[in-house]
Amino acid sequence: MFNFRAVVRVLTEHEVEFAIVGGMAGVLQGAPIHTQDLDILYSLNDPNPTRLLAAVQELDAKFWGDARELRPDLSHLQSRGHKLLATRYGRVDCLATIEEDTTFEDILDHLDVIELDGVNVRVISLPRLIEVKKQLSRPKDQLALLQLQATLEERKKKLE
Amino acid sequence: MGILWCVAHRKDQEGLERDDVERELEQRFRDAYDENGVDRSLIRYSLSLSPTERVRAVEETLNALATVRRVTPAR
Repeated sequence: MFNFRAVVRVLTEHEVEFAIVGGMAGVLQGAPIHTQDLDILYSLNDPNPTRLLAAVQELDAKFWGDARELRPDLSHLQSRGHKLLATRYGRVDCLATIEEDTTFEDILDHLDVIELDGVNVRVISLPRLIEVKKQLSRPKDQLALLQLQATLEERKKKLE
Repeated sequence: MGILWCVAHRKDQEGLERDDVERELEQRFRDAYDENGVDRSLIRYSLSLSPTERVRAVEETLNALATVRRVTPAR
């Protein structure tokens, strides 16, 4: 059962320092794009990995596509690699960095706070998300880029 | 002669109305899509929703697809 709002609620209840990036950030910022997972960029600073571990345990997270159904531990969450997890509420990709080596702390000035189902959540800003997508060459990212750029234009028109 | 004029006139009227409809549809299409083929009307609709409504719509689509996969036998 997909319920990304529930994932955000659990992360927030565990006081995890994170921001939504990727396709779901585009959706939250108004773009009519489709996505199948929730990408979060989280802080590697202590005690955040420990908090994240408690949250993903509550979400019954296992590594996506792992036949052994391996569960993430603290050392995994302290590492900089991408952790692609299957949770009870859908796939959640836990990223310690985006782009070449951009951390959660690096993009603090480019985050918006958006209310999602009564929870205030940090989301990468639309202009910054566009910058991230511009660096990706996959066809699906190029398609999303057109949608995001058009959404930014429509938002500006709405404000005029 | 009078009957022929009526038939011709009616055909002209239908033609004009059809042209009007075609023009209106063409205009709506032009207004909806930009030069990159992006549906701007869909973006405007999306922006009219709240963030929660948008995320819920994504979840509902994914849940519907998961249901279809569950009930459709594997080939």
